Amino acid sequence: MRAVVFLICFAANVVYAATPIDAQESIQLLKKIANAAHQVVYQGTFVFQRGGRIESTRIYHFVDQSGEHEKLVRLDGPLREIIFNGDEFQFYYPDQKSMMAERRAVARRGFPAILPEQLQTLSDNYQVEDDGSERLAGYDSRVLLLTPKDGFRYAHKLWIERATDLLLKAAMIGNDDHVIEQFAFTYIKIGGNLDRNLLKPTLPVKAAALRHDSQQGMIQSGWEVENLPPGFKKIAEMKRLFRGKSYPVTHLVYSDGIVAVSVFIEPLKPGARPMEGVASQGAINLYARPFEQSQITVVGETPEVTVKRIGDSVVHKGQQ
Amino acid sequence: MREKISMLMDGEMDDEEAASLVSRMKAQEEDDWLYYHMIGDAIRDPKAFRADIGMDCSEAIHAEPVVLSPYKSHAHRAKVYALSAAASFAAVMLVGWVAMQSPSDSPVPKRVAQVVHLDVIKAKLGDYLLAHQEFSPESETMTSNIRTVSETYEEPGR
Repeated sequence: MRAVVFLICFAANVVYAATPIDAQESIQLLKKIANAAHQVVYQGTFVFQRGGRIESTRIYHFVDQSGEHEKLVRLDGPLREIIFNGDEFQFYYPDQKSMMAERRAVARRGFPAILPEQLQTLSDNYQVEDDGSERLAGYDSRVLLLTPKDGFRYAHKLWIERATDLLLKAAMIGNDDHVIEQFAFTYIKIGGNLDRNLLKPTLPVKAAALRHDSQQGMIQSGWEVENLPPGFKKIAEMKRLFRGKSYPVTHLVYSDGIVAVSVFIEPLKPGARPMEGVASQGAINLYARPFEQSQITVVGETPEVTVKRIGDSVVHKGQQ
Repeated sequence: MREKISMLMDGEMDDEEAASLVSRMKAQEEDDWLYYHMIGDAIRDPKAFRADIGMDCSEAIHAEPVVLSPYKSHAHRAKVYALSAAASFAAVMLVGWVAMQSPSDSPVPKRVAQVVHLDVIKAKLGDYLLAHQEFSPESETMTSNIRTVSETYEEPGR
């Protein structure tokens, strides 16, 4: 009997061609993907699908001595452009004659982009498998499957271009093999020369320009999550300013190596109506609840149970 | 007027008269033209007419928000109604978010939620999503910035 079960398992394995990859190799693979995302010069068009919505975006990615430069142009609906130059990013809304500029809270972390401690937890939380080959946007890709070991995260499927390790497609998959959201290149040209003029805004907006820097500093806020889901570790803690808010907001970030959950804590103004409840958009789940005189908002690309567990166990310890 | 529309439809009107009638119809009773044709179609070819209605209906059904999940508890329902009834910005925002919730385990009837303006939410929570995205290892592993783009496409906020 045991032999039969074994044979069936073996046969299934052959059919799906999914072979487990050990922790060390998985980590190396993910590092390579992260490196490629920053180092490879490419241009192309990708589609992003979330729920019933699909939108196409053109992307130009360029790297030189001064760092990374990237422009994204929305192809569907009103024209939107986002230009990244190193740590600065600018959003253009030509139809509204407005733009917004911001600086990233943390400088891009250089190469490798993923912190080693984030990756160490990877094998605790996911089973990584090689899922064969697939041709995508004209390129040969290696397919990687990350299956979560518990219900606190989604499965991820990654299609990696064989020569450069550039990610050509990625899908987040929920229970019952339902694709929650995915992006995929439909056309991509890897390498070659890129005309730098392509990185300029199509319609520069001079009027009504808004400059905003989200100032912040790393701190010990005194806020803690007492009942973290397994595998999540704190990777950042800061105070930051947001548009339209006169007070700083505490921002805590927890990660399992693949995804992150953010906790935002802000004072509740006297008489203000607190937010309470859960909601989602594609893979992003949101949970809000009041806690004493504060509003807690949790955001993460995880199942609802994860943001809820984190949000429900936020406590304040010590002085702020 | 009705007689004239009928004449026009039957091709019993000269060009000048037709032009003046059309411009008058544009000014006041545009819909009449459609109704009259619909009636005419129904009389001449009831089969085709039914087919059209069927299509409209199925489109309308698709557009209609569907109550995908049953009420789980009265307590929860009461809370949601209270929220949607409240005029406060925060309440509108949260219920709007609920509208986008997946049907899987939502105790909230979708019909209630879809009434609320989704744009309002994006303007307010867009900054939080953007701030979150900066730290997500996923956005480092994935071709960078893809989701950031999606989150911030909508509006410049305020």
